[in-house]
Amino acid sequence: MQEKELIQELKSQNGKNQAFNTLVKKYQEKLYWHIRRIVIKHDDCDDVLQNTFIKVWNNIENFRAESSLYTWLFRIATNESLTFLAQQKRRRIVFHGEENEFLSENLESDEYFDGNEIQLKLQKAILKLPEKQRIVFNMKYFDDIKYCEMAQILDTSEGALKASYHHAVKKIEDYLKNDS
Amino acid sequence: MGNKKKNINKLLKGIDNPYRLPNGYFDTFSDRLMSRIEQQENTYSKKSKRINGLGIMKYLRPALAMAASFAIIFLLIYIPVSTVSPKISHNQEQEKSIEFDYLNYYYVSSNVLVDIFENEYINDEYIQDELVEAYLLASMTEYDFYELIE
Repeated sequence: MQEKELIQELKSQNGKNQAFNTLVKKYQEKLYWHIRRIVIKHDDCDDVLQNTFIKVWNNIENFRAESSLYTWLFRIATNESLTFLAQQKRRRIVFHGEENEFLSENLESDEYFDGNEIQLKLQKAILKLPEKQRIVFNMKYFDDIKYCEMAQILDTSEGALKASYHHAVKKIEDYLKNDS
Repeated sequence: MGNKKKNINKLLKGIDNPYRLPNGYFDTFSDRLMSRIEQQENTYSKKSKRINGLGIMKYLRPALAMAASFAIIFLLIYIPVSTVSPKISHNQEQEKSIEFDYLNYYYVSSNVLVDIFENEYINDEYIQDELVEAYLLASMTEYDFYELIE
């Protein structure tokens, strides 16, 4: 089914359920990994992914197709993930510079993380990055999303995204070299 | 940028995705999601039925809210004003009446007194005595009064 048809079906009364099912099947995996790399724990990721699709279900009538469906879904998923992290931080006493410490703890305690020592080290290096740099790095490195799409999803200029990625790579390299 | 990716690829060579997920997670995800959406829709329709059931209250509510807010504003202004202002006016009135009595009692001028004595219509001795006494009290000191009695 073409994206245009899918959007039309999603907006119709009769075909909404079936079209939504198609949409979920098509994007669930990509969105899952995007969210998982932000919130880290599988259970949290499951909640956020469900919330993302529920937002889509509730707001599909307002989608004006100014961007692609894919971009819109990623934008909602990113916002939901960041909102979730903000709530988590509010519940804890987070000291300055240790904003992402709880994510490292989550990583180690997550039963669905199988990483060996090197993998754990890399993930911890990524988690040391500031939130925005981390998201940009993950989207570019793991999801291979183009800068122009990323700019639409994160509502930032391509130049700023390139700079963020550059800084992120530098920091990860330094961390891995110095710590080995 | 391509070089950077190569560099980091070198560093991360052989590092696979360390994250796992439960078996068959994506097979059951859409069913779980749809049941949650159904639940949400049911709750929403129940709520909207309850709101519809209220009928006229839906339209009356804004008017009632406005009336209540006016009443609250009135009470907020009226209560402090009514508790403070009567005390002030009562005290002022009392002071004024005391002042007035005082003036009536002590400021009987001698001319007025003479006029009264000369008035042919007043023949009552009792009234005359009372006026004389009032005049004397107003114009004489205590010392003069005792001297007169002695």
